[in-house]
Amino acid sequence: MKARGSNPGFEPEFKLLLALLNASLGKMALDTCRELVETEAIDWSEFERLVIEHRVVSIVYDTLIQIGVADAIGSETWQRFSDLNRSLQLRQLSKVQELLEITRAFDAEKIRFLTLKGPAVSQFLYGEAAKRHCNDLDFVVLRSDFPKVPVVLNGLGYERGGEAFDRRIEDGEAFEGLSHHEHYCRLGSQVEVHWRVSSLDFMYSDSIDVLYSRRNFVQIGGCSVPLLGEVDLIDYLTLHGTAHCWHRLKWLYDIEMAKNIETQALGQTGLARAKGVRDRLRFLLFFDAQSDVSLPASNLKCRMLAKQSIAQIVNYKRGPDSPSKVLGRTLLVFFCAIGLRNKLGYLVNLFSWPSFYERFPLPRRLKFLYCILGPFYWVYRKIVDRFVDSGVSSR
Amino acid sequence: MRLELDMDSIVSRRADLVATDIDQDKVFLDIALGKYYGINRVGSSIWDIAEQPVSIADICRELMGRFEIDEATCKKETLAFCQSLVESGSFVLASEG
Repeated sequence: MKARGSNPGFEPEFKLLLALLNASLGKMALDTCRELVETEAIDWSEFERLVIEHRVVSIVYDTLIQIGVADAIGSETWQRFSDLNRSLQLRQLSKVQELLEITRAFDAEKIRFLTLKGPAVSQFLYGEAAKRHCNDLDFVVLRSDFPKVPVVLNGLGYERGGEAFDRRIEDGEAFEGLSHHEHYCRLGSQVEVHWRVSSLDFMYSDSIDVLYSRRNFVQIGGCSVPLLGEVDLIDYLTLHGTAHCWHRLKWLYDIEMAKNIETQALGQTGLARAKGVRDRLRFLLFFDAQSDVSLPASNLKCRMLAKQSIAQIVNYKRGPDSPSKVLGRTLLVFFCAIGLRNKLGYLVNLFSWPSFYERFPLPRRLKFLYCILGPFYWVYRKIVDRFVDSGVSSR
Repeated sequence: MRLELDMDSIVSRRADLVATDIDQDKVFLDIALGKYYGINRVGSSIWDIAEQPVSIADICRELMGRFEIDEATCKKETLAFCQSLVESGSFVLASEG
């Protein structure tokens, strides 16, 4: 077995990124990072792209400041990092503002909701609402309160994407589909309102109502913002990371920031194998050089799935939607789902695209056709999008 | 009417302001006004100290422990900084609750 943390196959840029993240967690000495900066041939443009892709700009930048390597990096690159960090942090603050605006509006209308990810999770895990990178805001709303959501969000200036949903929301039919959220936009800023936590929530044993009853709160700007209870949050983050094959280090870093992760047993739930993969990845990438924790016991399947995830994490240049990565993600979730029922649940989710579902509403007795027509529609969209892209770029 | 602060004035930052560290500065957001403010490293320290109600004299003592600065300058600058934050509504006087 390879020594922990040796990571011999990683590119220098990725090695440095991992070292900086580990140092920020107190799992590696700052001197080790400094040594890497000074001895490895780091391509700083590549490193910058890597940091952006993994959504850890602020954490990495702060750690670079701590180790004081601005001179080694070069003033031009350092200035770029600084500007990038500043603009992202300001954007995160604007997300906080948006979150509080919506929270207050939902509270005023007595809408029962939870926030997923975003500034609330940042406040809970990082102790600072604007620290964690987020592109949009996600809310889970209890179904009985869902009809009030469009009115409130429209009042705040948000517009809904997907008119088909409008027509079906009142009779509740929208909730029976395989989709799990709805988009709203305001000046390029996106909000997702979920009626299910995730498209993979079949792995959860508890309903939204139960998750809501176990909710936690964080205080942000004098406002009490509800989010998932800590154990549920870790489960959700695990589910989210699994669904994306952990291809961004931010998701694993979130798990590292959770305080009670060590007390969570793998258990016999649908998430047990996903947790096994997660913990193996944590061990391989976020090792604690000071402690003597041994590699968690995991079966062959977990080891293979973790290997697949690392391939996704490292090969960021291909982009998250390259065919090999999509296939890798699909296999990861399929094998992480325990039991035939969960595996079938995943395949049904996989082969029915919500956009197709929204565009061509079918009568209930014909809904099984989504599973067959969905993939064809997906391929059709890919071809059309590629054609449009190449048409635009050739002009 | 302009409220003049003195070294015994007790100030604290408003609880509903959201801040983030950028480099060694701090940027905070006044959601009610929809305005962002930037403060430098020393200002950030004052911001952190004023999480709970604290006298300006105590802020100065704390700052002199953290930075190389003479007492007269520290008092003058801290008073002016707190005065401006009270006037902008970002800091509140203890008597205001």
